[in-house]
Amino acid sequence: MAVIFGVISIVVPPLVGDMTVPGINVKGGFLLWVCFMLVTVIFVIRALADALSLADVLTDIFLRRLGAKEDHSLKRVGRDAIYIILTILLASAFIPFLASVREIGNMLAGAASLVALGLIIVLIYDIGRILYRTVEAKAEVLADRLVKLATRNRKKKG
Amino acid sequence: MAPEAILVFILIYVLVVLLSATEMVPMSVAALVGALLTGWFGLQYGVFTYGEAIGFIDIRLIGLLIGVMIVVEVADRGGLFRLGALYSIKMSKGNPRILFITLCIMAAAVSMFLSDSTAILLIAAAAITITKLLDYDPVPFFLSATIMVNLGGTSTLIGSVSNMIIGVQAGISFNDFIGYLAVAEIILWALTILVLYYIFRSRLRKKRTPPTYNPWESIQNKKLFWRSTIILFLLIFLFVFSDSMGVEPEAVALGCAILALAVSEIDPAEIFKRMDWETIFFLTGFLFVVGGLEKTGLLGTLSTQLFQLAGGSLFIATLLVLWSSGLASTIVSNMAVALTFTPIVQGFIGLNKIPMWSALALGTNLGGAATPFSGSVVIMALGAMKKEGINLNFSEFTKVGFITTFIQLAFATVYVIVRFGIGG
Repeated sequence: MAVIFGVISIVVPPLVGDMTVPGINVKGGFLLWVCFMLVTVIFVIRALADALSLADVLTDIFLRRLGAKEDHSLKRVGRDAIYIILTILLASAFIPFLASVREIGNMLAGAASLVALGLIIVLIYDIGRILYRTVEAKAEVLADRLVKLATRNRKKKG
Repeated sequence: MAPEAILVFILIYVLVVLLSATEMVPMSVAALVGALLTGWFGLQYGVFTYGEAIGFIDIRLIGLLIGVMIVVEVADRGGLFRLGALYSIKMSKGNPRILFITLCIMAAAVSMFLSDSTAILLIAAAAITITKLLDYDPVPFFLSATIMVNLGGTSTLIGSVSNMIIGVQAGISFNDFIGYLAVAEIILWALTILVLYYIFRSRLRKKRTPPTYNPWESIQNKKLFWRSTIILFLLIFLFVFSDSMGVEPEAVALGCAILALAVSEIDPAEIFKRMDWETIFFLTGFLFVVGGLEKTGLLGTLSTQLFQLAGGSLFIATLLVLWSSGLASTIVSNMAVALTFTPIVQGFIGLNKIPMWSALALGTNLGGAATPFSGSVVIMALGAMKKEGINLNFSEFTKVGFITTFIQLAFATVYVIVRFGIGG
């Protein structure tokens, strides 16, 4: 779909660019550009949402393999923080040794750094996700309480 | 020193604290992993030499801990503490209020000699038996006993591991420790029992007649009982006079431990098996982690900054030590807090350190029972309750724990100000 829209965005504007759309009095090229931007934005949002759900599932599978049993509890945030520190420390300890391997040392050290960085990003993502859900749940409870309070006040006044 | 080296040592420290706090691995393993990483990076970055690293482990502290553990373990097997608990329960004559107060005092008294984990197991067993027999609500007894076990031994060098750390590293003798803190401990006992009684007063009403029993019948080996009791009192006697005899406390403890092993006729392997190796290894590992951190100069800098924050005032510095160590102990093991704060307090050059050492002893001891995560004693007590089918939710414990800890710390604040005259 993205490719098709890409082709359309290249081919169509030159044909209709100068044409004024009757009724709304707007140039065809501009209208097409607006439509194209809207579709792109929708696509990006949807794609990001899908990617996030995929990332959620993959992160869960990955962390369960690491031994995380808790479902989105704050204890898991502590566990993630431990893994982040361990990753940094282990990478710091072993990368100098990997770098000293003849000929391929730099490549190995670079690869190890990238793996460590990827792992840290996954763990930070997990922490962010858990904290967001915790805050969201607290906000919902607060909102419910406020609604109940407002309803009670209204009943009293009524 | 390279900033990355300092960052690595901070990360190691945070890692050990997080590993212990989340109980992802046993706390001894957490500290030993920290020690391994400290050794690795310390040698790699040239922060210390191998010889210096070996010196991080305070053999005097470990010796004192092992010596006291052996003597107390032998005394426990002799039945001294069980006998004391049974006598105090018998004295209450079934009155739940007297029983409550007696159990609280007994819990704190037993904890002055036994490690907190051993003391809570002993008192928990007594509390379970008596509350079941007399059909009392077990929660007030259990919860209060846990808080009192944590409080017991605040004023003695051997009352808690954090006190041993402070005493050995600050060079405070057994008598001086008691001299600085005994009055505080006595008042804290009374104050805490009063607060706990007030909280649970409505749950201590009905009175039942207790069954008759002879506490002496609980002693199975009278010879062992007398021998172990004499050695325990010899240990205390020698501690009291160690200063005038010019003998170090760890030498007294190890000497009495050897004597206890020699005359108790118990297989030493059994004694060694029951010792709290978890604490010994945690202490060894964490001494190493803090030693590494100290070598980076970070603790010295922290000490200087705290000194500046206090504006050179002994009053502010003492209160800072009391409250920060007290609050830190509500989350982190009080042994870790004591080990971390010891070099910081030593860095307060030019100030009288006695009020600060006393504040540190009070802070680390009092913060240990504020929440279910504050220390092993609370976790063990809750575990024992759960095993008996008694459900106590974490929030109920935290509510009582926080109230008592806050009141205790508030009293400790007044105490250090008045006792050491640092108010003006």
